[in-house]
Amino acid sequence: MRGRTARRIAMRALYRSWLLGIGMLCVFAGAAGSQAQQTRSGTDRPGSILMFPKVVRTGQRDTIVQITNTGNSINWVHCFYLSAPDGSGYCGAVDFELVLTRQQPTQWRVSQGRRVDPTDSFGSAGAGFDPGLIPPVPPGFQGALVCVEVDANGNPLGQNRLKGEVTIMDDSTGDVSKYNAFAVAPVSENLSNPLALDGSEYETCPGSLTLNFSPRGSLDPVIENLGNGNLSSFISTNLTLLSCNLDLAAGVRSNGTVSYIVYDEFESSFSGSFPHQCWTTIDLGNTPQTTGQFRSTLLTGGAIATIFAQAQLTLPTGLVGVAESFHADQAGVTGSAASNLHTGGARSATIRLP
Amino acid sequence: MWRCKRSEGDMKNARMAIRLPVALLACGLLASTAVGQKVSTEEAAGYLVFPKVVVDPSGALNGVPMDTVIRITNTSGQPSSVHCFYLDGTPRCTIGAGLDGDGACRTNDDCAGGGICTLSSCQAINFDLNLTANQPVGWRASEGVVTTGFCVGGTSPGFPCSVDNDCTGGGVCQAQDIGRVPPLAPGIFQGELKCVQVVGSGNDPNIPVNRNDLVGNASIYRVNNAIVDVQTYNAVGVQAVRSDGSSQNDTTLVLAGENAQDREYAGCSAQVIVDHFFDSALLSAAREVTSEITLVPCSERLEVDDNPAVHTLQFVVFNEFEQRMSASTRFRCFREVQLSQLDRRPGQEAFSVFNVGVQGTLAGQTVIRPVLSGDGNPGNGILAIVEEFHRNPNNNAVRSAAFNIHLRGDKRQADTVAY
Repeated sequence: MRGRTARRIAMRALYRSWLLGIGMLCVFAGAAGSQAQQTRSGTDRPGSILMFPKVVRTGQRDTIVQITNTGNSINWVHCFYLSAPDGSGYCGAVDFELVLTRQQPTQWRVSQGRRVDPTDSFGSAGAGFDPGLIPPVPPGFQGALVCVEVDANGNPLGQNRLKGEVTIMDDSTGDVSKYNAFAVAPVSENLSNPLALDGSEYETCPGSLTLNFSPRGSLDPVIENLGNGNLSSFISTNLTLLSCNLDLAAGVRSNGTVSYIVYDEFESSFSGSFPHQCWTTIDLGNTPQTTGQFRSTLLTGGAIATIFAQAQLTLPTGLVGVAESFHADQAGVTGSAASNLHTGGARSATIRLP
Repeated sequence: MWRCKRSEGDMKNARMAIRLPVALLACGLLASTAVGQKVSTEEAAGYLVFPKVVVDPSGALNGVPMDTVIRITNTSGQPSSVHCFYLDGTPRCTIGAGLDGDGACRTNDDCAGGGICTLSSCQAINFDLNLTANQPVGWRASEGVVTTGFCVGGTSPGFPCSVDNDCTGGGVCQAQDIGRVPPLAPGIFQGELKCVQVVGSGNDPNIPVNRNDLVGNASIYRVNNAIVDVQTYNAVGVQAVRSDGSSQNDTTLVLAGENAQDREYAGCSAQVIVDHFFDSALLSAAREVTSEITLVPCSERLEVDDNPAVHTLQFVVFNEFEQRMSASTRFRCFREVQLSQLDRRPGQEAFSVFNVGVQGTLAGQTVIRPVLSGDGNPGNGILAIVEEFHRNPNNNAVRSAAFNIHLRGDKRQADTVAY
């Protein structure tokens, strides 16, 4: 009997410990879930690291970068233009520094950069407090811009006050498209170089990207209805991706593979993958790895039978991206529109500053 | 005695055995509600807001026909039911046929017989969508969805159809019924679209469901035989606090608020921030910029509100000299306005704090803060998008781009959306 009582007491203690354990697990799970949800970066809130995945100066296209200090104290910013001109996977970086006074917005055209010239006339491109000397990018430049909040000594500082936008313009047609910079906020006050985008020092990068798009070669329903279509309009989409793993001290070399699943309106799915380097720009449906899955049945080799489709991209490492769609009528008159991608999941990454 | 004790002990054990699954259930509930859901333009959500949808097939508003393509995607592997509302924010003449015969107008000059061009309320039109797993759908707002399939093959694959004869070039019509969406043409429509993920079945299929599976974006076109101008923005997603698939209790969505138990969705932000070029800024000799902002409230009584609440907004504007100016404005259920007309009448834009002639620099930052109402009801949160119009002064050709605004801070006051 004493044995049974002892066993019963032991059983009760075991149950109680389970309940206690479940309770503790519950608290940790809730906290972890909360942490995972709250610590992912994005394009609609200020942050301490800004990533502009697509900056171009090609042909007649040029880019204006806008960066704003949304805080009430001075903000030192260390910026890096990244480009991969030879396609080897090595991303060279050119850096410069900005100093933004409280609440100061600034802007520059990348083909011209920005000089320090206090005599700039009222309303001109250089008017305002010059944030620092910003170098121009050379003709043919395609790449990205990354900016990090630092202190006066260049050490990472998490004020969480930067926001940015990019305007891409075609000076021959007047066309324009615009997207928001991707912002990563600090999670901790103790920041160090390299920057850990792991949810404990800075927010994480997305683990997946969702792209709403029309397959290459689709007819544009609005141009066909209102414009010069005649069943010859043409939609194409350019996707640009930037790795969150950046070694800005020694150059960036981060090869990998992006896996994707494309769904059309019939719920048919098509999968594939394409290689990714530190910075990748790809005309979807116009490369060997994306021909069938991102191309309309109107074009040779195309598999997508509907105008509206979604692609879910799964990333081996943290990536951010921007899509730019081009809508042409039968005469070749083209309008473009950029949009930020939808994001999900979380991936850790590291950025190493010089 | 022993029997009694054993019985008591067994009962205790039984109670503990009951507590265990209850604890697990509570744990699951806590875990599903503990996550930090938010209002976002990039994450999947259970409630989508498209702040601006415009249809003007005749081009009466600005000389170029306009239409909007709306895309909504179910990112889940499970089917989703969606209940949507168009809210008509088109100003209309109190007297006169206006620009489209139905009273649509821009200013009083568009109204005959001394009529006033005004927007007193936003009438709602609702419709339902049924999305299969991972299904993306899209439609022209002018055309809606009035067919039951899509063309396959032929020369117009993907175009809507109901029978094979609707498809050109020998295509066949393959059934895919996503529901019916009312067309917004003929006539002029300016307004917003709100979509809620709902249970989709049972006695009240329009009860919201605690899931976060929807993403969306809208492309606004200005197109004629010589112009193709397209701008795209992401829908604002408001995430359900729980994402466990359970049904909510009623058709009133509670966005945040001080009482945690009442929260059903994430809350609108305390401030929104807009980076913009000042109006009339010259980015080059062939590129002069103006910006328009479209404002919609987070709180709304859809279908039943003849007298929507007035929202007061304060604007703090900074230029590149760190100089600060302010302005304020009011609106009801929808307002689309050029920045320079927020604080000045049409024709007086050069005197606005949003004009480059006043500010002297190209770029500016504007922080918009909704003024808190004293009674806490209705909520005063706002959502917005901004459009940039680049005009070539040499030939007056206009191209445009849209972008989402930034959000900052949490608002204590709850917003509610009732239908």
